[in-house]
Amino acid sequence: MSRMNKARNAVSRFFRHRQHPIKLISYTSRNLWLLLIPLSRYLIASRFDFQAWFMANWIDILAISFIFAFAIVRWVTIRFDIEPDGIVAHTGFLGMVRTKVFFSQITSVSFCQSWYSRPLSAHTIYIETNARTLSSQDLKLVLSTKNANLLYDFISTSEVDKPKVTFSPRKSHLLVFSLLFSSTLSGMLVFGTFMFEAYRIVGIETEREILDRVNGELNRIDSRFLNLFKTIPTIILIIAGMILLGRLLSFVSNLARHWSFTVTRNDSQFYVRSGVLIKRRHIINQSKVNYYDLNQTLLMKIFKICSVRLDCTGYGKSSREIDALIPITTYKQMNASLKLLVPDLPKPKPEVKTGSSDVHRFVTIPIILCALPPAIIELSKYFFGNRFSDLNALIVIAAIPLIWFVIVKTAAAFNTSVGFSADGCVINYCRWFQFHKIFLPKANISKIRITRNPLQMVSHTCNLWIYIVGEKSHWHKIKYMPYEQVREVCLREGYLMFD
Amino acid sequence: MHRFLPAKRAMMVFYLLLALVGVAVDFLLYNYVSMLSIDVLKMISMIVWAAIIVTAVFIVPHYFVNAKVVLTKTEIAAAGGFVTYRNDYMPITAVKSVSSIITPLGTITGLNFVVVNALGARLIIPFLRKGDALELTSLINDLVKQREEEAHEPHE
Repeated sequence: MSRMNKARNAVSRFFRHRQHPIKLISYTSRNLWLLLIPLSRYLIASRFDFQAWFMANWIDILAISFIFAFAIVRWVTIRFDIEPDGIVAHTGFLGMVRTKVFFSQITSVSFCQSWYSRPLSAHTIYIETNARTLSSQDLKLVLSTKNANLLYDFISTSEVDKPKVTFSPRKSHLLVFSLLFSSTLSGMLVFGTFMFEAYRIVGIETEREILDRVNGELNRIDSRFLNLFKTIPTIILIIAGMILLGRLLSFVSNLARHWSFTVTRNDSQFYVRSGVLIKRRHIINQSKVNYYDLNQTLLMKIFKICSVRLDCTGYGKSSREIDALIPITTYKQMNASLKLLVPDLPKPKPEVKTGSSDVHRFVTIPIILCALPPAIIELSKYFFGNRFSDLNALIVIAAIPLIWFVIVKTAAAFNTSVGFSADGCVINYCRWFQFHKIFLPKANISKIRITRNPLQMVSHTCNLWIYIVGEKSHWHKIKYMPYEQVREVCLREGYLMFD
Repeated sequence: MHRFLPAKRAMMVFYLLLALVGVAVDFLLYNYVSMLSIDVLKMISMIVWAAIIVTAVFIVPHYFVNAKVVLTKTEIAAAGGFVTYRNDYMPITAVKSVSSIITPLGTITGLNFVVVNALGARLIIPFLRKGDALELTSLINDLVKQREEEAHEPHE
């Protein structure tokens, strides 16, 4: 019996320090399916005559066996261990790369479980620090649910009897958040990735047949009900369709990603849970948060709502994930929630601001850009006549976001400022169409830069760049600030100033 | 407080490079761009040389007159910029490491650089004399070491 127990313990120990067996699939080649599918078809066609199948395909079978054998060797050699002060992982080719990540250096840990790993009880864990590593994350492991939960409890400093603060936005707010932060580009990327993977599986002919059928159905619906193809140029319909489809896909993706969003704070950590198809749990070390960002578009500003994000290495890193602390909230609720979630957040008042006298600086380039579409139309008429009248309609539509850009930059002139207090800094500025209000501890400022071009030398203005600690170089550029006031504030803060 | 100025020899290197660029553009224009007329080629060549002269007379000296680096116990401040005037300030507390790049013939050309690395930022100080680059690197390393020792001292 004791021998059996010893064997059982050895096996248990072996698996406890290894990743989930599902990882074997990712260690095989992505093109393995190109070998497996024809092999299976041949086997079925030969009515499971294994001898004939083997004789005809022994090279492919040998290749697949090598691929799987290599995957198994790789899986066996990649292992991890939890020590009192950190986690050690042997990764890379045959586990040659030994990495130790100290718990005190961890900025965030993410536990992700996609819909296809749920039946297999597998979790993907990402461990991040502020150090810049060769791979995109410090450590990435795929563990069983049991090991993942053990690691979660080990890293989490949460205690059952200690008070906690939990915030969870309403579902209606999440719908608005997903709509406001959906982007056509990310939606088209999702669609493009899906089409590419579909082509790899079914082949281009089948994919073309499906697309032709969809196109035919759309034409049929349009000729019956809408008659859009007769009234609106085709190119515009295609682009409008792409934008709407991209937006819809991005909206659904955002909603699925942030559904059931909750954030809990204890003494030193944030615990974030979200997601439907991919369930995510994050542990964020509060002391490693670089800054907090109140993020708004102009419409959100008008309706007095905002999104609160935090910048911490690892959180929000995966594609299309938004690093939200409070996904969406009104101003009143935001102040109350921040007081509970981040009571120590320094909130200095803005000291140096731009105003109405600076509007012309903010809108000059956007106005020049607005003049481009009519200029292009005139040029196309001069060179090509009326041959491309559809293009003219497209160019006019392209002018709409440019006009909106001018309006946003006009508002930006009244929402650009910087301020310092004893322990904190506040930065207000607008980048493209997004307004940011950044709160950060002064200790997280790694560099300050002031630039002045010849025109700014004459107008006594400058651009202030504030670099903040983090894994990658991250700066915030505040434009067209009054130079003398910025200089005075920097001198007061102890920064050496050149004349 | 330590003050460092850029190496004037690097300015000579710039002038040499600008002259080489001008000669190379002329060579390429007159030998390989035969589809344009000689008058157009002359005009292009004049424009290129005018740009080179403006760069040599105004832009390059502007950098070397205004550029400087000041190192105190608490921060590194660097001024510079060819067209846009730039001031950088990095607190010593943010510095993680410093690298010096001494190029071959750096003593003659003045093309030596110091790169100060911090979390989330980097400060590049170009065109230093070899001795200055090594001295600046050494001073910054000493300050960082001092900071680490103070951080690890047992509190009384």
